Amino acid sequence: MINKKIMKIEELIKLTILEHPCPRILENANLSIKYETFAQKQGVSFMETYSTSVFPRLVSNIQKQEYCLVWDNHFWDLYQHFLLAIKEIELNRMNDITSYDFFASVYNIFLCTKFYRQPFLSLVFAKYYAATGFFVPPYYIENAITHNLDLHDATRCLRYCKDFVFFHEIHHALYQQQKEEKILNFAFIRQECEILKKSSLPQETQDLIQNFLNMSDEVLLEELCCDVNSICSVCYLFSNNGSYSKDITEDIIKSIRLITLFINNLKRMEIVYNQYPKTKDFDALSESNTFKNSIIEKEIRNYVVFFIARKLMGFYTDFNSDSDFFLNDNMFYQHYRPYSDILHPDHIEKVYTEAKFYSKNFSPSECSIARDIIIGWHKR
Amino acid sequence: MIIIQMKKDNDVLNIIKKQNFEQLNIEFMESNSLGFDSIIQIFIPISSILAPVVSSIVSKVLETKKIIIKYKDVEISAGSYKEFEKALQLIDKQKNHEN
Repeated sequence: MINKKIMKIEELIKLTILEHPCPRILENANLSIKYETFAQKQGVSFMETYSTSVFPRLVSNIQKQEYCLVWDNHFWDLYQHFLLAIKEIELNRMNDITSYDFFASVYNIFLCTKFYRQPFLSLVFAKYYAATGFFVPPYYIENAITHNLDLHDATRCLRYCKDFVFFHEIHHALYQQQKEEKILNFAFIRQECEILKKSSLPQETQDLIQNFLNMSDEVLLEELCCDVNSICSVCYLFSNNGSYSKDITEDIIKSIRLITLFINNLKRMEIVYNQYPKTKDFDALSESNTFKNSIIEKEIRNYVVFFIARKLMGFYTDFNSDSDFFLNDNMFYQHYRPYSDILHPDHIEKVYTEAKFYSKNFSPSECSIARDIIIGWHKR
Repeated sequence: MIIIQMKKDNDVLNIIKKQNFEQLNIEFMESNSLGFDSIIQIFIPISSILAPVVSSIVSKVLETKKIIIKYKDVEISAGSYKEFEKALQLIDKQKNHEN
């Protein structure tokens, strides 16, 4: 008879990830302790890593008895760079060419690590990353990034974003365990969507919200609830015992919009490059459910979440100014160009052709070694 | 340990919950990152990979979606049972190479 060996959730997680041998950043020790203590009170363990999975995530066993928040510092490493570029652009200190290469380097290093277990494809992204001339993370100036963020007063923005992600995942655990009585329920979100739909929105947006209401997608509803709860938690944390300052609230919402934009960009790129080998057809890809759902989810989350969060905080919602947040901004244009170029069908085809070339001429281990040297993913 | 990864699906979850894996040392995990990738990961000791219960889950999943098979730093995707068997052969080769 085989003795059942029960593995801890952290041990199982370790089996699924590939960790950087020398993590370039760790979470600030004080913040890490705060998160760990708070998470533990909610019955969630907290685990820091720096892995190829990149995104922070909530992991549970199937029985939903054990939860672990995996805090992947790799994501924060990339986000810090994205944030720094945004701040430089806001101050007009980064020109179009520089910002293009900077954003392209962040996106390519992301794809390179997300496809790490596919060495041929991963090497192609590594080469595009190196071609930008911006090494992200710049391991030759490890402390410079934190220093630069301080100079831009972006540390506060980064903190809001971290708190948002942390509370978002914790709220998922609370929802699934149905522990918290005060958390927003699905009916409330539906009711607010009905109100939002009747406001003076473009027809396209109204249709989108109606589609969402018809779908009754409980997964998306949970996401919306966790987003709104999380924004409220962050605002409460920086409020004066529940007395909210409009400036701080807007600052928090602006920061969260920025991180959701970054997450959406990364996720979209990952979906497209994942789906492409299966369809080999960009039109079919755009029509695929995964791709469509990601767009619907992004749009719904962007429209609904900030509207409800502001309302809950007691502030008037100027919906139009919110929806135009990025569209009228130079910053949007500058981050969008490299992103859309990476998703261009010709570029995707080129990437896969190069990967095919590597697969025919080199072994997986040769490509892995070359890739690791380029991106610095090796013991120094 | 071989890890089989798939998109989260309630039908698959129900099958998993009904089976008895105690004797096989098989573990399950659900993971969700920021509302996008909801996945199920099954941890199977190499000695249990050919157990009928594993084949039945894999066959069921492959009716509608692809799976990813992970072993150490190797990752192979499979869209059919034939591809799954092929992936296991490759892993076996890798394991023998390590030994």
